[in-house]
Amino acid sequence: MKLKSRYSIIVFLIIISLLVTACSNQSSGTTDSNEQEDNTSSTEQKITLNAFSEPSSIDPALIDNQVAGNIANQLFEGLVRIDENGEAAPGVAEDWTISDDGTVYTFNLNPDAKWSNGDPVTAEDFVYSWERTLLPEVAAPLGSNLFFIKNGASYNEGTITDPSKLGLKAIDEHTLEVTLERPTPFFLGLTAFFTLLPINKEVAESNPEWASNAATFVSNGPFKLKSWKHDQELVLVPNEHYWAKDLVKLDEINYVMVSDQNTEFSMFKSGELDVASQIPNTIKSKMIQDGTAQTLPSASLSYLRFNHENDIMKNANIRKALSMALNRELLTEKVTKGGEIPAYAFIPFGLSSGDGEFRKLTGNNLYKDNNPDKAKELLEKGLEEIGESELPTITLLFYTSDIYNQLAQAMQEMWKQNLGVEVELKTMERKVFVDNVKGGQYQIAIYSTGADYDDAQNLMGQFTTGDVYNYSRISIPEYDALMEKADKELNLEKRAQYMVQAEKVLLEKMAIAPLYYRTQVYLQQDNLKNVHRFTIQAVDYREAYVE
Amino acid sequence: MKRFLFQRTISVIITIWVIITLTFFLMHAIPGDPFTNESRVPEQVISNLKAHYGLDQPLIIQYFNYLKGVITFDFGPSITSDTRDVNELILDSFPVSALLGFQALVIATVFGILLGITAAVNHSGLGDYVSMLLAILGISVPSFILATLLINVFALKLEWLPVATWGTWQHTVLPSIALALGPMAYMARLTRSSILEVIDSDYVQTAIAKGVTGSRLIFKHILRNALIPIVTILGPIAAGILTGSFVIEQIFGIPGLGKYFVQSITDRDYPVILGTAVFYSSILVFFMILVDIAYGIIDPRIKLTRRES
Repeated sequence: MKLKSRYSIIVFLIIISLLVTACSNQSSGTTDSNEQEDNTSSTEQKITLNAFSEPSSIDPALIDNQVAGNIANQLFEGLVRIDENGEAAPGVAEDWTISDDGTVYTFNLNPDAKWSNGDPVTAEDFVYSWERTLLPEVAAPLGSNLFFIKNGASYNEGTITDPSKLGLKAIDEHTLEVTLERPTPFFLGLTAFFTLLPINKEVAESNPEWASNAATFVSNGPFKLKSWKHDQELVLVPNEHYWAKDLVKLDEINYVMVSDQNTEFSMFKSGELDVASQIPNTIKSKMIQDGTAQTLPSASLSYLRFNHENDIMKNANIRKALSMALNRELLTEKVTKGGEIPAYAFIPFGLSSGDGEFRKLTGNNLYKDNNPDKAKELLEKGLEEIGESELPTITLLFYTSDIYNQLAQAMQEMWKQNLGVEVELKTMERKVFVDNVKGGQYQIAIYSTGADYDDAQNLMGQFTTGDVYNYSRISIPEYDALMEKADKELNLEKRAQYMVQAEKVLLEKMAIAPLYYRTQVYLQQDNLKNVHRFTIQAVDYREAYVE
Repeated sequence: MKRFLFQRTISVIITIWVIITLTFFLMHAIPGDPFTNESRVPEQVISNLKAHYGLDQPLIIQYFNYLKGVITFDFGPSITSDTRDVNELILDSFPVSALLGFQALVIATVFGILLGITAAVNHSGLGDYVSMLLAILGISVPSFILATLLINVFALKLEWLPVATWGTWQHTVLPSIALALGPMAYMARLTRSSILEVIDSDYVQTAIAKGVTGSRLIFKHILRNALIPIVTILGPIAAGILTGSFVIEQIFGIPGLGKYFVQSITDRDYPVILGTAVFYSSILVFFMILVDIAYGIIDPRIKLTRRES
């Protein structure tokens, strides 16, 4: 007994003393940036952002996602920049002329534009960068953004091997001439997209590994790469050779790599992050409503894909019935809860038609939903057409994610209540799901799609007959004809109208059933000002500052 | 000893070859490839990418190419990261996981054994119930719940420590604790049961009869024998904990190796899947050998049988 009690006291004391020592020195160790700032007279121009995970690359040609694109957008500068109104403004190019037939662009480069190593940015750099991006062996994941350039696609395919056949020419050191396959109204804005950012020819030729670490990294944008600890952080500092360096206010942008959304949110709350863009779903809608979280259209949507080669789904009335039985307002308000907008059309908000914003031309009300009686009528009609007395069980395919799991269950319930239809749910891992959809192994699938460049054509092309991305096997001759007209039309207003009509045709037949437009939701510390955000184009911190 | 090590080396090589072969064919059997995603990428770009990484060759050729690489300790490029190959990736991230794991291992072992002793010495008393309650909690509370709790209390409410990321020793405190709790609870229970077993043995009773008491009795007579089961489980636990934890690294944004075990499979990053599998099995096998050697040092009975022969 004596032994027991004495021993317990010793153990207890050891544990207590360890805990005390562990906690005692810590308050001095961590610095709260806000506390520090009160002591200094001027505000520290330093921000911390989240890159979520290690970027696979920040070499513009090799980037395949928006997050790495955001980083590249601070490091590099393209021919044009997108200003806060979404218009093309001078970047490396001071000005430009476009030929009357819309296929030849001549860019006059700013002689003051320089690389972070002091070299001037030349037309040759652009020719080199874009040729390289199109080279098959470089395997640029978003190389198709350069297929608008004459012979770009053939060169990337390897059917043309002579780079002089490409529509790229350096007339002199500061004049670049680009010839396109066909008139492409959105090409000017596309030159600001991260895949089209230039790299330094000399640096890239002398060291193929130049983009792998900070010591050899050369860029031409407002910022340059100071350090890169893989999987941990990237640090950007102002590029003293940048032609408009006076506009740059920040002294440091620090990108950390935190993939967990709750952690990101906690870091934002503690002031360790200046921007957070993954708010936990439980509090997202509340924060959007009370204005703490900002929203922005994201030019992407989630929709139901129907397999038009399936005996049941090829019937337009059955598709319409399924779409009409859903209540999209309820789905976005009660299920997804992330500021999504119910979609009563296909092209998302914030996407251009080439003649202003597409949705402004035609509104967001091309069809109605949440009408059980009408839906049942349509279903009866459809069943008659395919010669069935009742609808066989159909399967809804989706990939495993919290949102889609809940969304699928809610839709299953709506179909049961409003149509009396049993829909089986089948979920699988993301890549397996994509494989199934591409192979046509599905009846209905929840799918999402987003625009790569600011033009509705980018999302509409995939539903034309025989298009490689037409995983729904849709074939509507009327739609094809309208899209072909739009492709050939030089007059932007007419071109936009063809696309508006095409969208109507697509939805009259309910070839797909749009669900909701997605939004970018983000939190930003109150003292961070002048950050420019866009629907498609990457975020711009060039003129941002801390108040 | 030499003969023992030689035999073990041969069996290790065979084991790892079997693991490589199984992993290789299993991962290629999963549908999808590194370039499967929903975005609209032209077929020609995909075939360029596949050619770039040699994925367009027949599977058996890829397999032999990979084995050739392994013999020269070259695990190939990472497909998801253009900046590093698999060797660099493991060299960069393993030290981080190992440091974190080592701290967690120390916490788990020290506190686990202390709790176990407390429980055993106060058998069926208050100390026993309190220690075992802690142990049950440690086993049943998932590490991500604990991690979230720690962040909320120590980083957000008290502001003693940073929420996440990596860099200073302060960044290591919370993840180490979160990582240590599970193994600690496991060791506490194991220590308790093996001490209770040893306490009744003849030589301990003899020692007590001779008047040995207190810490001398516990540490010299009881613990040495009671430690054997703990050493046995320490091998696999150490291998697991040192190579990082997916959950903890994700929550605390730590640049460790743990996340690659899961992430590489999601990404179908074949070279990284194989590289991490080979690396983990090597570490595991290494610790198993250490455990075998440690038996001989700790257990006097093993030495005894040697002397008799």
